[in-house]
Amino acid sequence: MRVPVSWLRDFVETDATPQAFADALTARGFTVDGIVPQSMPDHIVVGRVETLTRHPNADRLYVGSVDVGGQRLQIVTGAANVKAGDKVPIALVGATVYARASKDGSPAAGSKRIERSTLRGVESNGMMCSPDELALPGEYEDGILIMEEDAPVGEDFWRATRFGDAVLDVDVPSNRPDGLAIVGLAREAAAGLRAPLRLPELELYAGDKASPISVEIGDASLCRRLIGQYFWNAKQRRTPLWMQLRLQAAGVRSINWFVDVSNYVQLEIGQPLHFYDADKIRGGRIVARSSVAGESVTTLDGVSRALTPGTPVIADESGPIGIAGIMGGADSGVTENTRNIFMESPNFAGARIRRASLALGLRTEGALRHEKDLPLELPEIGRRLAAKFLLESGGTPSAVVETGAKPGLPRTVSARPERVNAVLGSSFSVTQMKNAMTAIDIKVRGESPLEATVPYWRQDITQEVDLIEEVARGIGYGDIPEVRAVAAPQSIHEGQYDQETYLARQFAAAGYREIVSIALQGTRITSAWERSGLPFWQHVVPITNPLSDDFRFLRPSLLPGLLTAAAKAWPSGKALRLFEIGHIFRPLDGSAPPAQSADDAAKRGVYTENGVSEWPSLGGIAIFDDAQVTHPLDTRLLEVKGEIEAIARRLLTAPLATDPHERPYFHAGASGNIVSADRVVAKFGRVHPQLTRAFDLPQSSYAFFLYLENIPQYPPVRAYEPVAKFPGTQRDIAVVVDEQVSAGELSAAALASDSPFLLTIIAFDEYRGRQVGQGKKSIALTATFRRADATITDEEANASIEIIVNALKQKFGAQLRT
Amino acid sequence: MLDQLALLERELSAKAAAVQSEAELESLRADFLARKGGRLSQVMSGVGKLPKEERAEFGRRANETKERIDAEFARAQNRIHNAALQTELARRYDVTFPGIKPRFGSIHILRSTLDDVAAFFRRRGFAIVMGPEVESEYFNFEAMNIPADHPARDAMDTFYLPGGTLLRTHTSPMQVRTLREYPPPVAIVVPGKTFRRDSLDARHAFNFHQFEGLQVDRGITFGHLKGLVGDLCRSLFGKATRTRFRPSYFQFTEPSAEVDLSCPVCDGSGCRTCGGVGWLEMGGSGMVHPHVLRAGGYDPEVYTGWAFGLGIERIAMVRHGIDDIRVFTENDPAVLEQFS
Repeated sequence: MRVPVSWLRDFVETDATPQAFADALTARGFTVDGIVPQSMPDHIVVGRVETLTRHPNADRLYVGSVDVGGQRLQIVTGAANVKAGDKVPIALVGATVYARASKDGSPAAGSKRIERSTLRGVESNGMMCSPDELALPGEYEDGILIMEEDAPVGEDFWRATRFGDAVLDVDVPSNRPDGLAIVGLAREAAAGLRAPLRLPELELYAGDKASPISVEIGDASLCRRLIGQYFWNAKQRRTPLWMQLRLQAAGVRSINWFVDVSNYVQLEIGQPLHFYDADKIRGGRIVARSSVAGESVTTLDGVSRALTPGTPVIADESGPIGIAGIMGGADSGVTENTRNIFMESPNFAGARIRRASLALGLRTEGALRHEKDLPLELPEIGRRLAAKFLLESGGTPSAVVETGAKPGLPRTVSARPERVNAVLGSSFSVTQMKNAMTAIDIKVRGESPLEATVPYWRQDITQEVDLIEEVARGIGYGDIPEVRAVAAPQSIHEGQYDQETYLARQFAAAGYREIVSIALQGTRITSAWERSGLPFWQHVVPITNPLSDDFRFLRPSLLPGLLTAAAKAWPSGKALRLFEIGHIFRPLDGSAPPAQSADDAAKRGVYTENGVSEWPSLGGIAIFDDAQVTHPLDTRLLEVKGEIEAIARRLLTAPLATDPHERPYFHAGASGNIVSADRVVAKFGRVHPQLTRAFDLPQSSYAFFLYLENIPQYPPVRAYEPVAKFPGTQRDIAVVVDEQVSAGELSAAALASDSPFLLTIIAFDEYRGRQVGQGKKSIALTATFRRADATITDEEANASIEIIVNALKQKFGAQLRT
Repeated sequence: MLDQLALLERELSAKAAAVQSEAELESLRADFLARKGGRLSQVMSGVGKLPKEERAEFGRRANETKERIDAEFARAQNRIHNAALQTELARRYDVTFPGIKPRFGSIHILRSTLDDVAAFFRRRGFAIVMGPEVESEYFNFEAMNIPADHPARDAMDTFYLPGGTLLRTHTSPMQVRTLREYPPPVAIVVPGKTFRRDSLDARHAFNFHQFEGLQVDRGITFGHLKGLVGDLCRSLFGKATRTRFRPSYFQFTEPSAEVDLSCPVCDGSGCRTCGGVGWLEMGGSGMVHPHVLRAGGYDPEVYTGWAFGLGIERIAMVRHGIDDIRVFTENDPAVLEQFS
C-alpha cells in the first residue's frame, strides 16, 4: 500500500521524519519496502491572477498581474488555460522547478531556476506552474494548474495543498485489513513512534427524511450488514486539489468527485463503498444476494459478464446491478448527469467475495478488503465519512437505512504473563506487557491473567498466542535475548538425505558434475522427442495451471534434463559427465509404479499417497569426445557400466549381474539392467541414436539411472577377508559360441560348473569375423584358480579349466579356440 | 695355465675400466663369464690336461681369479650407475608447465550450500529429513493453518495437479508430517524443492529450494530461534554478521518474524546488493502456531517449538555473489566447473 506520510500526519502528532515513520512501521510488522521522496520546490506560493492581457509583441503569450499576497507581480505566461480570477501556483524569483515531466520526482529530470527576465520586451517576475513543473504525482490535463477558488492567496503552495514529503510503500500482512487503511497504519506508527494518535469524531451526517431506496439482505451467508443513504441533489464538483494530490500520491487516479470520495474513504478508513445513480435503481430497493442461473451484468469496466449462479450480486427489481463488493455495474453508476445518489456501505463474508473475485479475475481494491472479513463497525464509519464529504458539495441526506447484524460486544482474550515469557524466552514485566497492548488501544484489565478487550478492528486477535505476539512486537523482538542451545537426542530416519549425499560424492569423485534441473517440463522437451521419432513417456502428471507450455507437466524421468544440459555443454566438444539427483513423477494409474521393494516406501522417498507416483532417482550421462562407437564390444558402454557398478558395490553386498534390457530411449542392442539379489538397481545404455541426433549430441552418449529405492541408504559393514596365504594361478581360454550367447552367460555357467578352485572368471575380449565363421563369435576369458590350503599345482589348474570348457561345450556348444 | 689365468685377469681389468655403458658391460660379462664358450670357462676346460697334483692348486687359483673378476665387474657396474645417476640428477625439468587435469567431477552449488547448512544443524543434534514434492491441500495449507478461501493463499501462488493435489509451495508440510510420525523431541531440517507460480526472472524462480527448520520440545522459546538462526547466519556469512528479527505474518507461526541479515557486502551501510537498506531478507520464521502443533498431535500447552523456512538459492547468492537465480538451473558448464 502506498501511504503518503502527510496523510499519516493528519492522525499522528509528531515531527518524525518519513524514515522514522518507516522504521516504526517496519518494527511493528508493517514492512516499508521503499520511501519515495516527494519533491517540493521552495518559493512556490498561491497567486490570484488579477488581470490577464495579450502580450503586445507575441501572439501566444499573455501578461498577467498576479496577487501573491501583499504584492502584485507582473508575470508573462504562454498557457492558454488561465483566465483572470484564477488561483494558480506561482514560482517566485529564486525558485527552482522542473523543466519537464518528472513522474518519479527525481531532480535528475532537469530543473530550471526562475529569474527576473524580460520576454519580448515585457518584464516577468515569476512563473505560473503546471503540475509537471512541480513534479506533482499522477496525471493531469495540460496547462497551468488551476487551484480552488478558496485557496489562500500568498500561502505556501505545499501547505495550501496539504502535500507531504514522502510516500511509503508499506507491505501489509494479509491478516491485518486495518493496515489497508491510513488510520490503521497511523495507529501502528503512533505506537511505534510513541506519539499521540488523534482520530476525529464523526457526526451522524444524516437527515430525517426516509430514503426512497431501501436495503435488503437476500443471502445472509453473503452479506452480514448493509447500510444505505440517499442524497437528493448531490452535486459533482471539482475534487479539491489536496484530495487529488493525496489520491494520486497513493496511486489512485483522481476521476471525479463521487469516485474520489469513495476511494478516499476506502483508503482512509478501509471501508469499500459504492455510489449509485439513485434514479437508475428500479423498484426502490437493493438486495445483496447470490445470482441465479441466467443472470448477467455489465460492470463499470464495460465488460458484460454472464454470472455463474451463486455469484454475489447487488440487485434491484430488474436483476443484478453490480457484483457485490467487487465491482459496480455500468448502468447504475454515477455520471456527470447524476442528480440523486444512493450510497451502499456493506459488510460481506470474506470467503464468498474472495472466491468470486478469483473466479472473475477481478482483484479490485474493494474485493481485496472485503475478502479479509472486515469488522461490522466499519460500514457505518465509512458511511459517515463519505456523507461528510458529499454534503460539502450540497445536497440533502436521507435518514440512514440499514439491515443485517449489528456490531456485538468487543471480544475478550486473556493471556498468562508467565506463558508470554515462556513462549518468548523473555523476562518481561506485567507492566511492559500491558503498555505494549494499550499502545494500540487494546484495553487490559487484571494481572494474571491479563484480560484484554480487543478493539473491533483487530478481529485477528482471538487467542492467547495472538496477544503474545502483540506483546513481543510492542516491546520489540530485539529485546528478546538469543539463547544458544542444542537439540535433545532423538532418532529420526535420515536415510534419504544420507543416501543422496553419499552417492553425490561418489559420482563427483568418479568425474561426474552434478546438475539441477527444473522439475517441470513441456513442449521444448516433447518436441525434441518428436524430432527423434521416439515415443516420449506416455503418461505424465500434468499441471492444471501451468505457467507456459514449456512447464506443463512434472518430469517423468531425469533423462530429458540431462540431455538438455548435455546439449548445452556439448558444443565445446569436450568429454562430459553429468549427473542429477531428484524426484520423478508418474500418474499412479499410468505406467508401472516404481518397484515397491521397501517395507516402508516413504523412508525410501517413494510416495504414492497423492494420486501420483513420486520417487527419487539418480541419473547420469557420459559423452565421450571420441565420437566413434567401437564394435563388437562397446567399450565406452562398459566403462560407464563399470563406474556404476563400482559405486553400486559400495552400497550393495550381493553380487551384481547384468541383463540385456531394451528401453525406448536406449539403443536396443546396447542397454541393460544391473541386478543385485533379484532387484534391478540400475539401468544403463547408449542413448538412442535418433535421440542424440535430436539433441545434437554425438553417438557416443551413454546414460544410466539408479533405482535408489532398491539400493541401501547406507554402506554395509563388511566382514574382513584375510589375505590369501597361497598364490593363485590364471588360465586364459577363448571359446567360439553362437552370436547370441553372452559373456555374462558364459561366466555364470563357468561359476556354476563343478570346476574346483575357481575364484573368478572374467571375459576380456570378443572377436567376430572370418576366422570363427558367420553367426559365431569368440569370447576370451581369464579364469583365476586358487586353493585355500596349498599352492595350486599346474595339473590342478589344468583339470579345472578342462571342466569349465566341458561345461561350456555342453551348455552352449562352445568350441575351444586354439 | 696359471699364466693364462693371470693374462685373462689383466685383460679383463683393462677392459672393465674402459666400459662406458650397461650394454658394453653385459657383453663383456658374456665374453668372459658365459658358461659355454666364455673365456674363463675355456681356460678352465684345460684343467683335465693338468697333472693330478696340480689340479687342486689350479682350481684354487681359478676360483680366486673368478672372485677378483666378479669384483671387477661389480666396480664397473657401480661406476656406470653412478655416472647415470649424476647425469639424471644434473637434468633440469620445467615444473612451470601446466599440471595435467584429473577427471574430477563436482557437486552442485546448491548441494554444497545445503551441506554446510546440514553440517551446522547436525552438530546441534538436528536430523535431516526429506519429503514429497507433490502434496495434499491438507498438509500444504490446512494443517499449516491456512484454510480454503484464506487470503494468505495469495502469497503462495500454487501449481495444482488434477484431483486437487498440488506442488508444495514450501517445505513446511513436513512439519506436521514429522510431528505425526515421531514422538517429542523433534528437531529437524528439511531440504527440498518447492514451487510457486511466479514468472522466472533474475530474482524469481517457480521451482526453487528451501530448507525448513523445526524444533519442538518442552520449553522451546523464541529466544532459541533467535540464537540458532543467529548462529547459522554467523556460521554461513561470517562472525561479524548481525541478524534482525522483523515482525511478520505467517499463518503457521506466531509470533512470526522475517529474518534479515546485515548485508555482507556493505556491512549494513547500504549498497546495490541490499538495495540500499543494509539488510537482506533471508526468510520467514516464528514460533510454531498451536494449530500446527495440534495437527501434528502435540499438545501446545505442553510443547512449544520454533520453525523457519530459508531459501537455499538466496544463501548461495549472497555467499557467492551470484546475482541471477536462473544460474542455478541453467547448468552452464562454465558455472558447474567453478564450484568443483
